[in-house]
Amino acid sequence: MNNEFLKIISIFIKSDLTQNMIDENLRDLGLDSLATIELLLEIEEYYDISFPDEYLSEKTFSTANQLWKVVIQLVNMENSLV
Amino acid sequence: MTLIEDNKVISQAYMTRDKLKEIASAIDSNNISPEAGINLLKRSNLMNLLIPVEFGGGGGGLQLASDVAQILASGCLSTSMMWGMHCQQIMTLIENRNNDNNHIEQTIKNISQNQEYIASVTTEVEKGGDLFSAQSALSWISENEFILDREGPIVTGGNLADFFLITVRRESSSLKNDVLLVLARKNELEIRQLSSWNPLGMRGTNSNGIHLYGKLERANIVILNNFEKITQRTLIPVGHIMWASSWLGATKDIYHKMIRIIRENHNKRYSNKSDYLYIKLSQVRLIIDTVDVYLRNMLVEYEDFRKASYEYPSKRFNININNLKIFASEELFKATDLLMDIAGMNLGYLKNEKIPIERAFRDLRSAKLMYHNDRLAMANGKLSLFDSDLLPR
Ligand SMILES: Cc1cc2nc3c(=O)[nH]c(=O)nc-3n(C[C@H](O)[C@H](O)[C@H](O)COP(=O)(O)OP(=O)(O)OC[C@H]3O[C@@H](n4cnc5c(N)ncnc54)[C@H](O)[C@@H]3O)c2cc1C
Repeated sequence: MNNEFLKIISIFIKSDLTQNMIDENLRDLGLDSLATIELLLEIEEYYDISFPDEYLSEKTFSTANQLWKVVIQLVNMENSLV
Repeated sequence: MTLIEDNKVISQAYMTRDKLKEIASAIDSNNISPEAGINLLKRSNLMNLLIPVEFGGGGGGLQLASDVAQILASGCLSTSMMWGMHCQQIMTLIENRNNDNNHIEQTIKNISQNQEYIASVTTEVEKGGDLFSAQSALSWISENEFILDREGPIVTGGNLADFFLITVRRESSSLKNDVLLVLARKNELEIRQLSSWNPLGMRGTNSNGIHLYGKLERANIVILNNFEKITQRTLIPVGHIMWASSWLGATKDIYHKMIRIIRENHNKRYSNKSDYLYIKLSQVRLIIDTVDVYLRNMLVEYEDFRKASYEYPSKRFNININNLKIFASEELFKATDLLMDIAGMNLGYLKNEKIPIERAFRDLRSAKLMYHNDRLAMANGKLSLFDSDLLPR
């Protein structure tokens, strides 16, 4: 997981996100529902991707790790289309 | 609760309503304490309606509470609002109590037995109505004890409250969204009045500004983590449902009274029952019916959510419940305005014995501001990005 990604998430939670926190629940780290949406917009802009509706679930945003997997998948899909 | 017991509560609510009617106008005109109204509720055993039977309460459900709020509001909207918010505090305690915290359970039993009233302290001067953050922080003096030092600029029934349910920041170094909910009994606190309540409407709520100070214990904290969960699961849905119910009840009352006046044959003013009159009446009815149906739908959706035992409601539920508050507060105020057009100067704009339209108009003007609709609209706009595929599946 790249550090830029951790930095983006850190904007929206209580403390700086480090590699050993990537499986912790993001809600427990202080990501409330409206912050989840702001995080989504930030990630979409940074990686130039767009989350399809079916990815907009609690599960996607449950942990940094889970979210990163989805981001990688979407970035790859985006690249394969180019 | 059985149907017969529900019916008993409803008749009790109507009896209380009739007594509230007698005092509502004087409380509003003279801006006096709503003590008489709250005492009526206490004597009718309504303060513990939502407390489960095992805690000595009435064991009623939210649908019943919503009906009762409508009925009470048809006598006095201020009293109904106080009761509705009290129900919100009760549900919050019941549904989110930590099973290891005997203090809260014992308190719920006492509240039930003594028919006590819980006031809510969420607003702060700096942050306004935002429920998800708190400015004042607890000062911890030991592992187990802390000082609470909190101003509440608007506290409904603050001067009558037996308990206060208060939002605060965990400690001064915490982020502002690290909110705790503290329950304190009146005699655990030093209470000082900061301002008096002299508003346009909702005058009977006596929502003075107060300052609360006290040394309390960890056991006073209702839940130690995850305040957002409490707000989403209970505080917001129950608050919006009870508020909408009260506004709806007050509007239904003046609508019904207006039609009775129109139908009095000797009342010459309305004897030329014009097309204009019928059209306005139908507009009011459309608003009442739409809010009524939406409210009932949200009661069902909320019950479904509670039965399903998910941790958080869906984004769609969040949007829908916010829309209930936005829609009810804006449309029912419009309905009072339309009713004032219909009634005209004497029975509408002027205070009179027959129909309290001007009071309902002033009272309902506050609806949009109580937890500001702009705040909810902003949240709903953002939440929509997460939930926009609305076609049937
Ligand atoms: C009858 C009555 C009884 C009340 N009882 C209580 C009580 O018992 N306890 C209690 O704690 N409080 C109580 N309140 C206060 C109430 O819950 C709200 O906190 C208060 O009405 C909102 O205060 P505000 O307008 O100062 O702040 P805000 O809600 O902060 O609004 C101020 C302004 O900022 C704008 N604004 C703020 N945030 C946003 C946003 N996110 N997006 C867009 N615009 C925004 C709004 O448009 C508004 O113009 C009561 C209010 C009333 C009318």
